[in-house]
Amino acid sequence: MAPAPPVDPDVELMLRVKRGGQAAHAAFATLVERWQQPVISFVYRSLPDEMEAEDLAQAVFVQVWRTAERYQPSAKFSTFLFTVARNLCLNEIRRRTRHPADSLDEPHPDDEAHPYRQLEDRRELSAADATQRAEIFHKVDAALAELPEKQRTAILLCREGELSYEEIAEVLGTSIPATKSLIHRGREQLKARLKPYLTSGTWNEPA
Amino acid sequence: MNPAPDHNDWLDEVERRRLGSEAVSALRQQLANRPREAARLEAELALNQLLDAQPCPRAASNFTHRVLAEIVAQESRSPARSGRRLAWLRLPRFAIYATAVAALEGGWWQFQLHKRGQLAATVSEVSQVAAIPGVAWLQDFEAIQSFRTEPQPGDVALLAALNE
Repeated sequence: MAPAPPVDPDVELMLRVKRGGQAAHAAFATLVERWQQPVISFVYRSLPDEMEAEDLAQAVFVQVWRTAERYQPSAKFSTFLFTVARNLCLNEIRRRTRHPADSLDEPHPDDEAHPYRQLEDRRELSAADATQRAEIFHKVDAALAELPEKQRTAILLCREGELSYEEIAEVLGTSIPATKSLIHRGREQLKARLKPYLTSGTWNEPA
Repeated sequence: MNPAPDHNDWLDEVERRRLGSEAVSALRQQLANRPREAARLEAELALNQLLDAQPCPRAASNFTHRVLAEIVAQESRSPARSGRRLAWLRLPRFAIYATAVAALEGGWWQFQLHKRGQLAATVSEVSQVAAIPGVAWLQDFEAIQSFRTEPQPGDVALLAALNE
């Protein structure tokens, strides 16, 4: 008799959440600990808005808790989680389109508190390098933001969420060949927009 | 919607996964005699490096605590998810709704009863003042109905003479 396939630990935790009771909170805390950073990264890249990213990521987990009773273990937890994350990001983007004034106070890359600056500070780069890096980061964010939503989401789920093609296809509601095509075309556009930074040797990871 | 015709296995790998240095070396070796594809590989790797190096805000140390606190707060405001476990908590609210509905319904019936009573009293009064005539009163009804209603010239002259 073939051994039973290993149970995905996230699925097991989610089933505990679904059952409710005192153990549900502990199981959910483990899931939040495990997935908070990929979700924050995904949300931040999708908007991108540092101020909103953490609040929206928090809303993603609250929504997952509230809909846990509908969770089916046939789906991987990451698929369920990023489907919720994508929907909330789309809602936020739509809300901002309707009320553009709300996003006027987004932090600028030159602000001291901006993540670009925080990263530079940690790595102790020279002022010139720091400015150049901040500019490149800004260009990459802008290039990502200009992609069609499905292409951007497919690339982000692949890089930030490390989801497989099958999982990305499930989140986006497309086929696997369509998902591959979305990623491929999105990357082609990114390469075209970021060509100066890919060919000139501008980018070198600091030691 | 199919991948581009030149979409091949190595490209798939580079687009899909974070490759380790050994895998990258193997790929470079594999494409060493194909300069066009080798150049493309370098562009793909550079793009991966750019994407992976993008800084991102780190989760706050109390992120999990905040999520759980928000869940508890929301459950106390609207106990939908904890419905089965805390169903009894919804009883007082249900009792308030049920009492309010019963009071409104009772008030409506009282109003209807009062209105019917008033109507009955009015009908009773009218029936005493204008009783329906008996059948004998109606035997010449058709003859009276056939009388002309407009005054005759003789009648008008008689009326004028009487008024003088």
